[in-house]
Amino acid sequence: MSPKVIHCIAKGVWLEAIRRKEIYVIVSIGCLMILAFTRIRFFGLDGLSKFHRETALNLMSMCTALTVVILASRQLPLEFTRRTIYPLLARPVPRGGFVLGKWIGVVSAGLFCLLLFLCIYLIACLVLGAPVHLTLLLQHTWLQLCMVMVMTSICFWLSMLCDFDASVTFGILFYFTSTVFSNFLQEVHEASGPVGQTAARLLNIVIPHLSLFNLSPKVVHGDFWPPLEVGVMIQLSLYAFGFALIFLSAAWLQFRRRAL
Amino acid sequence: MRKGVIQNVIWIKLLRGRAIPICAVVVLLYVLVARWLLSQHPDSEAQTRFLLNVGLTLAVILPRIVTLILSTTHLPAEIESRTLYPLLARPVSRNRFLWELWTAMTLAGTVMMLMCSLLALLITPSVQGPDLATLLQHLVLQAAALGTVTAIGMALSLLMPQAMAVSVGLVLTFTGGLIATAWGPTGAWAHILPQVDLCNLATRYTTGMPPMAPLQYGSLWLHCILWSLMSLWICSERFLRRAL
Repeated sequence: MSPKVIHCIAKGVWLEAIRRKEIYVIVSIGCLMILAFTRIRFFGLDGLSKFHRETALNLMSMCTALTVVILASRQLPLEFTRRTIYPLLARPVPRGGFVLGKWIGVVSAGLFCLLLFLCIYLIACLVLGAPVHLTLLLQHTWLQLCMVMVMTSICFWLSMLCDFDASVTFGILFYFTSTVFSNFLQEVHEASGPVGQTAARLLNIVIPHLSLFNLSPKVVHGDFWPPLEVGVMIQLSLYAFGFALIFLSAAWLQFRRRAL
Repeated sequence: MRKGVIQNVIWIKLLRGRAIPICAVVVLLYVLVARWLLSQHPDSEAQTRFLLNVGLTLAVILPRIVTLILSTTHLPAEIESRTLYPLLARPVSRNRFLWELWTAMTLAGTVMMLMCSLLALLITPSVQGPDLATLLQHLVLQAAALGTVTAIGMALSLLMPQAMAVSVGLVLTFTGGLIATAWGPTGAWAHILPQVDLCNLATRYTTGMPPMAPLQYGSLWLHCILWSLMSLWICSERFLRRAL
């Protein structure tokens, strides 16, 4: 599996995303939504700067996740429907290298989207004179990248199991219900007997908790929250890498078995 | 073209593409959780209302996401995979093809919505208060809202690339009404956005409120019809001009 091949495949994902202008448009839509949101005066109150900043960070995360879900869900099925996979795999490109290249391409596109949003956020904070807690912001960015990795792997796996529409639907549903589901598992664990508790624990281990990668409330309230400890960051990163690896391996296994 | 062909195509696509099975899994998860919670607190009316609300809201959100994604991806996929050519080579006008596609997708979404709603109503024990007329208003309005979502998705799919169409469609479908309401009278322009998210009377039903006044209900219907017609017109204009 040569790095040059992986780089070439990742570059292909990039070129396609740039040619379709998807990332720029999603970033623009996100910015418009943030702008529209900051103009709203909730209950006629002024000075809701922290609330607006937290919502802006959440919207950025949401738009990045949406970009990643759509990009990741279409990578593998589109290669089959367009038949562009045949000339690629006819060369000495292993299927594992192909999936890895695509994965790196989508993750880097997600990172680009995230960085674009962060630049806009930083500029807005500097212009408005809002405090920026740089360490927490960098930690938030890293954890968001971890979320992008997990979502990309999940969508790759889903796109091998079902078509583009179903994969996007499930990816979006999973992203938006992940936090609710995490909270719900906690409730189940507290309220149920031994069997229910075991089931809740098992689900807690099996399903990735995307809410762990969202530090936006801490970034905004950085004057009260210290940055996360290095040990915690390492644990969270390993948690994300583990899930990304599991789902990516599942996608690769499905891809390897598929008849061309 | 034989009647019902496109309808069949849409159903086969939904079943083979596993959109319906995935939604079925989500609904099944809701049923299991709801049954478990109801067995824990069988006498809690507040919890029953809450679970009914969650079920009916799920029945609103799931079909909307499915129809939106289907409508934003179907036409470009037909054009790209060249399966549109044998269809349009038959004596069928492009407008009729669009109309049948819209009807098929709206019907598929409506059937999904009705089945999910029925399931939510069946698994929760009856509570005092909810008005059957409000439920009827809610279900009928959902069909209209699904038609609007489909039309918007189809128009967007011919105006912009896939990812953009899905993103813009999701934003318009789920936040249009929220933005317009939150902005208030100072941002009158926000009211030109489609406000399909306001066409959800699930909470009204579960909290036992009376049915909407005819004028208020009619205005929601009018809003859906106007947005559907406008989107279908845009879609038709773009599709007729498109060189195949």
